[in-house]
Order: sequence, then C-alpha cells, then structure tokens
Amino acid sequence: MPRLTALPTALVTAWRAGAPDAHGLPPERHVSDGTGNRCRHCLRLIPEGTDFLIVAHRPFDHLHAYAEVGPVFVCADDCARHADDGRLPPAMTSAPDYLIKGYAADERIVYGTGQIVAPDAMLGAAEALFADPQIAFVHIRSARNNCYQARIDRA
Amino acid sequence: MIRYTALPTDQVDAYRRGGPDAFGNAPERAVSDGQGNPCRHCLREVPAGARMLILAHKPFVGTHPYAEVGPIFLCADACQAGGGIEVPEVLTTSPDYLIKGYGPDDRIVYGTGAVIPAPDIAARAALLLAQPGVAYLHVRSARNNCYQLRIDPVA
Repeated sequence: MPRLTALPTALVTAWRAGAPDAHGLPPERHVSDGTGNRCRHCLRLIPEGTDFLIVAHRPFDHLHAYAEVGPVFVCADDCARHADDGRLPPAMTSAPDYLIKGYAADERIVYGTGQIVAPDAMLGAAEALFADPQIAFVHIRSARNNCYQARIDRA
Repeated sequence: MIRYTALPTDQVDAYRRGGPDAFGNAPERAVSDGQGNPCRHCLREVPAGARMLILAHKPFVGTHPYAEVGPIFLCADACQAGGGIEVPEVLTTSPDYLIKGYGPDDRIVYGTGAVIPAPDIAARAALLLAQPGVAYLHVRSARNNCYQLRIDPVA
C-alpha cells in the first residue's frame, strides 16, 4: 500500500522555535478546543486545552503557480512524527470524506485525479492513482475547508 | 440578495502586463484547450485556442495563515469584467463546487464549508450570508481546490 507522509520534524521544530511560515510570519499560538484540530506532524487530534500553532504552509519544494499555500495546525509542544504503518491514523478517519489530488513530478495538479473519498477508501484510491506512472505524489486535503492534511507517497 | 464578484480589472490588467503573482513570479502563458479553464475576470471559460495566464493568486487583502494562495487562470487578452447577480458561466461547468464562509477577519468560519451541487449554490450562499459572523463566501473547485470567485451580500 502507499505510504502516508506527515510534515518533516525539522520543519515543525523550526516553527516551534518561531521560524517564519510560508508568508514570512511567525506562527500563531492558540489553545485547542479538542474538536477538529489535527496536528500535521503526529497526525493526531490536538487535545483540548493544549497549545497549538497555526501557520501558513506550502507543501511544495518550489515556488510556482500550483504551489498552494494554506493554514495547517501542529502541536506547539514536542510530538512524535507519525510513522506509517499502512493504515490511516484514527484522527484521519474522523471526517466523512477527504479530497485527494494527484501531482506530477513538476508539482502540478494532474487534472482529473482530484476526487472526494471516504477515509476507508482513501489509500486504495491513491494506490489506483499511482498506477499512472506520471503521478509522483498525492495530497490529502479537507473536503470542506481545503486545508492540507498529509501526503501519500508510492509504496 | 447575493452578488458574484470577479477579480478586480486593475489587478488582472497588472497580471497581463507581466506583473508579479502572489509568489513574485511573472504569470505563465499557456493556450486554453477550452475544457476547465475558467477566467476569474470575465467568469467565462477561456475559449479553446485562446491564450491564457496561469498564476498564483491570493484572494485576500491581508496576509495571515488563512490567506490561501493557489493557481488561477485568466484570459491573456482583454475581456469584459464578469460578476453581478446572475449566475456566471464558470459556476455551471462542474457538477458541484466547494463553498466556504469567511468572517470579517478573513478567516474560515468553520462549519460553513461544503461541496454544493451547482444548481443549489445561490440558495446555499444566501443561507450562509444570513448567518452571523459570515462576511463573504469563497467558491472553489470541489476537486482541484482552485479559487473561482467571491460571493458578497447585497445590502
């Protein structure tokens, strides 16, 4: 099965130390209400009453028209980066569906790959997309809020 | 009453002159295949064979984590500004669209985002704009995320 890839620890650690986000702004600090604030590093729900950061993140290596920027949450304190075990973590099965999109190696959307899928169908749908050799990676986003969740990489 | 709001003509003209996009890059030039290339100024499909621009756009005035940036298309040549109270062509070419409400602080009003069948957009928009705390709406592609237009209340 394809692999689920969380944000790199080095990036998240830098934000925690106050490093600027994709807009050049320092991360915002908030307190989680425990509902729907998912950390993109540990891929768990941020518990109620716990501090978290809101930053603008660009989950692409290069600056080009398709390099979307948008808000993500991460735990304000240290957390263990999600280790892929071939399954979706429980916090990523909380929404009824997600948007997944396939990208080519040049980081551009491969039009026609975007689809809204239920959590239990997500990894299978990504695997089907990877049957096309031009698909380099898949992004998971909120189907309702757009927000970037995680990347899916070829097995 | 609701109003569909296109990108301002002065901003579009700046992009046509090669002015920088949200990342400081000059807009890319491409030729439309006439399928799924909506112009965010005239709010019509860029006709097959016509030249278009692809660029990263931030449809927000300020810069903060929720100020999303992503790709849009524009007619490369002059076109008539779209928008108004009639449903524009670009909201009739897909079966559904993602609609999200924003507060006066330009942040997502969580709970407002939903994928809505195209014929139901006007009714959904009127409902959301009647909700306290919702200042305006963004319409995006349900499958590709791309920003389409803003919906504003008409006083």
